[in-house]
Amino acid sequence: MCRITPSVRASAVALVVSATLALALAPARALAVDAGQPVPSFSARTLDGDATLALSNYRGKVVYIDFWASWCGPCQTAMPLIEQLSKEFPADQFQVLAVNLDDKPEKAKAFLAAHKVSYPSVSDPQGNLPKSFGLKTMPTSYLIDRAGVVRYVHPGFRASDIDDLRKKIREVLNQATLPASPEAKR
Amino acid sequence: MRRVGALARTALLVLAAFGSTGCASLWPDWFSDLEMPDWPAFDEYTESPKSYVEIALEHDFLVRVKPWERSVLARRDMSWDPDELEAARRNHTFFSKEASMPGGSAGGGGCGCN
Repeated sequence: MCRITPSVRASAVALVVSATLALALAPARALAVDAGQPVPSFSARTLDGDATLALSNYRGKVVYIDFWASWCGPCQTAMPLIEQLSKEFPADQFQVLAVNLDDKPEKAKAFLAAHKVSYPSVSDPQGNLPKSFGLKTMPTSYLIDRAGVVRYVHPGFRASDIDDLRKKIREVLNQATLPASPEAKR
Repeated sequence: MRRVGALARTALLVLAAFGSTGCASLWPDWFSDLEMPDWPAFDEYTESPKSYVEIALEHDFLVRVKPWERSVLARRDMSWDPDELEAARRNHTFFSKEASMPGGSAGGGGCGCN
């Protein structure tokens, strides 16, 4: 006859409790926007606050969305290089749109006063846009094709990444315009 | 005494089972007339119900800092060694006194040959 001794029972209980806790605490799988998926549509106030920019304003262009913040070191490396990229490609085909995630937009304005860029920055101090994109690191950028489909996600940034980015942008720009799929509306 | 222990363990087991299932409908309807706080009971990404343990962790003592919420953590005075020169000096003093190199770090497999 098999007897369940108190120690066996205590071990079983401990096992069940730890297993349930482990299951409960397992990180939820984030549904991040990835290559091949339609870009979430959005509109947000610009950093200076006097206009609202929507992603749909750039329909038909290849858009490079860059999430940045003034406190983020790699973002500071990226900005002058992205500025350079934005000037390399024709403005009627390629657009850089920066999304600033500083909790205090004044910090971002001070940063931009010192590091001038020509492309627009929208401000999202509440962090709603990175949530909808499922951002996993700072900075992250998304290359969106003319049909509104994410073609490339670039997490983090090193100065050496710029050549690869340039190549990818050129590839997307050189592709024929595809009709937008029903899911890819923005 | 043993019975009390067994009862306590059983209660803990039941609580853990209910608390971690993530399914509010498993709870008896004792608190239906209480106004529940407006916390997000559903995971923002998966939209699956959060477990009570998850909610407790998020709202009581554990904050999951999102990548874009690290502005304060990115401050220089929040780093482990805000003063690099001072840290290097202390490290030098430490490994000189310990006669090990680099005595201040956790490198090596315990052989003492670092």
